Amino acid sequence: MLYYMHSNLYLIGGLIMSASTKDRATLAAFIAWIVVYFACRWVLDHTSLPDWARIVIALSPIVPFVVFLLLVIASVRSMDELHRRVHLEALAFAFPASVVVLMVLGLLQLVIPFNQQRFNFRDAWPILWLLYLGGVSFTWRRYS
Amino acid sequence: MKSRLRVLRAERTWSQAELAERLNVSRQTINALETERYEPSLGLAFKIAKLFALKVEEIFQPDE
Repeated sequence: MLYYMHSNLYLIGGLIMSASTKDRATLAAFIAWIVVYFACRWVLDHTSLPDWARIVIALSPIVPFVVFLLLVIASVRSMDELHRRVHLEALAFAFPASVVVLMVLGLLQLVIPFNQQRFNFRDAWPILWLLYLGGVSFTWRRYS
Repeated sequence: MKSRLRVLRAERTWSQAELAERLNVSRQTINALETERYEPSLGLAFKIAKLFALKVEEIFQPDE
């Protein structure tokens, strides 16, 4: 159970500190992504810069996020076969489930125009993570 | 798949953690193998067989 909880939390940024240097690096990359993302939002909202600079700033959170993803992938690769299988099955659930969620939102938008201030498709990404974590949790339960 | 892993481990008085360490897998994997909730890869099955000096089919049997 504890391992399962750790596994879940680890994937959203390694919120539980462990002795592993790799885990700390993953947590650092996750925190860096959050910091850069909010800094970038603040700069875009409160400054007037040329378009090229705004594009560079808008894309800047990609760098720490890609580092975070690469560290997560490295971590999954270093797991043993059962844990790799759990994550693979979670992805096999999360990907089609994400497609369904996005399709439902897209179809609803045809008849119910979303208030862009209150909901935007870019706000849907936490749902994708939740589906993945739900997949990990469901699959892990099958094997433990 | 039927597994004799728990019996073989108990005969050697190894804990799940000890067996996991010898096989370089997690304790959860050993538990899943013993409770027959997970079928090992061919590589892991051979590794287990080598560790216990048995044939793979002497440890793992297909369900009837």
